[in-house]
Amino acid sequence: MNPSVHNQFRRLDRALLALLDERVALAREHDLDPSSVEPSIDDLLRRHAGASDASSVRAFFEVVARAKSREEERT
Amino acid sequence: MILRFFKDATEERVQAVRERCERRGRTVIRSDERARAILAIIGKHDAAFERELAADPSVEAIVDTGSNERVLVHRAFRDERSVVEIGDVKVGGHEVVVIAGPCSVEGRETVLENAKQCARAGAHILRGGAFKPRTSPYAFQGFGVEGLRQLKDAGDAVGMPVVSEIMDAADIPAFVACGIDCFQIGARNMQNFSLLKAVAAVQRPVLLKRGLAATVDEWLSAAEYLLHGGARDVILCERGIRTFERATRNTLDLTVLPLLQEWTHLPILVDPAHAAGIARLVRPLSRASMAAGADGVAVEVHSRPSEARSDGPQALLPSELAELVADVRVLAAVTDRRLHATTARRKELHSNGASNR
Repeated sequence: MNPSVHNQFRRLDRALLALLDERVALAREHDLDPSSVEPSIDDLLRRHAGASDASSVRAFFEVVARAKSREEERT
Repeated sequence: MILRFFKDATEERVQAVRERCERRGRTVIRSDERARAILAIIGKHDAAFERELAADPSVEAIVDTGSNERVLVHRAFRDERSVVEIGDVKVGGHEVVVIAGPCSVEGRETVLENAKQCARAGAHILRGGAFKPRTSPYAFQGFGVEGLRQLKDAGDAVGMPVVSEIMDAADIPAFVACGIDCFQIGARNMQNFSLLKAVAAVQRPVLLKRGLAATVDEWLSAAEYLLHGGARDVILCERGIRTFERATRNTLDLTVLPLLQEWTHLPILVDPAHAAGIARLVRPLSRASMAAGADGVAVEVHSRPSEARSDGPQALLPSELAELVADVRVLAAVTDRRLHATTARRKELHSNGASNR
């Protein structure tokens, strides 16, 4: 793979992880169970006009909704 | 110049170097950096003396600051960039903040309503002017000390520290008595050196706005006045400069953000509202500011901008502030930082903030 393209993938992956961390941190900040603020997947899909197919988007956000903090993982 | 010692340099060695500098007529100011000893050496440039100091085995590096004008603000005067605490909110470092509130305090009820809206939207620090520097003597000049009291009471009610502009050193006792958490030096007073000295002596956090025609050097020299005068906590705030362009009120100079991160350890905020003067430009300019490395943004909010007593055209609605805070959260995350966490009191308001208009 072209190193520049590879670098862009790595940067996108880091950004996705940072956003997932931020989502979990926001839930913790407000004493919410991350799974209680599930993404409105149907609504997201209705508005979605990007390159990802619907089942991938659905699967991705189902995982996002299950994400929890390290502290919660330990308990 | 700035002398940076090795981390394992003994206190005796540092003192010996300090005394050698003082014997040669230099003024020496020590950084409060804990990781290592750092000394600012102020006085006549002397290449031979610099070589002599560089040869000292405890000195790791000598940083030529170019002049004696900007030493304490210099990036090399601290290991890490400075973090300024305004009440319970930290400005600078890994977290970013949003300062919001009315341009002018317009009365007890309205400022409290505004504070609640800002807290619900996720802002961290409440701003509001009680002494207003207006171009026209006929324009609303602010409610003065009573406005300060109303602002502080509103901030206390929602758990937000407050920042307000001071224009006259004679008002310092009132600012202190009212418990104003951060003194703002406005653009028009950036080079009011007697005011800078007087505010510095109070040793409260200072938000120093860039003068509307000030160069970066002049702005940093003003910050140097504050640090030299005793202020420990200084935040810079870019608010647009006057250029030939008249489509906007001023021109937001985002160039300074990455530049200042190289030049100074001080945190840097951006006030996009005064730069643009147009409310609909505030959100995109806030996003640009965060992307360019700002430590936060300061914006104006009013539930009825058309009725605002000052700067209504650049004020955001509370709902627009909530959108801006969400933008800042996302941009902070993807630039390896994070939005400052809300306190319990603000969180309570935030959680109950379904109606945010």
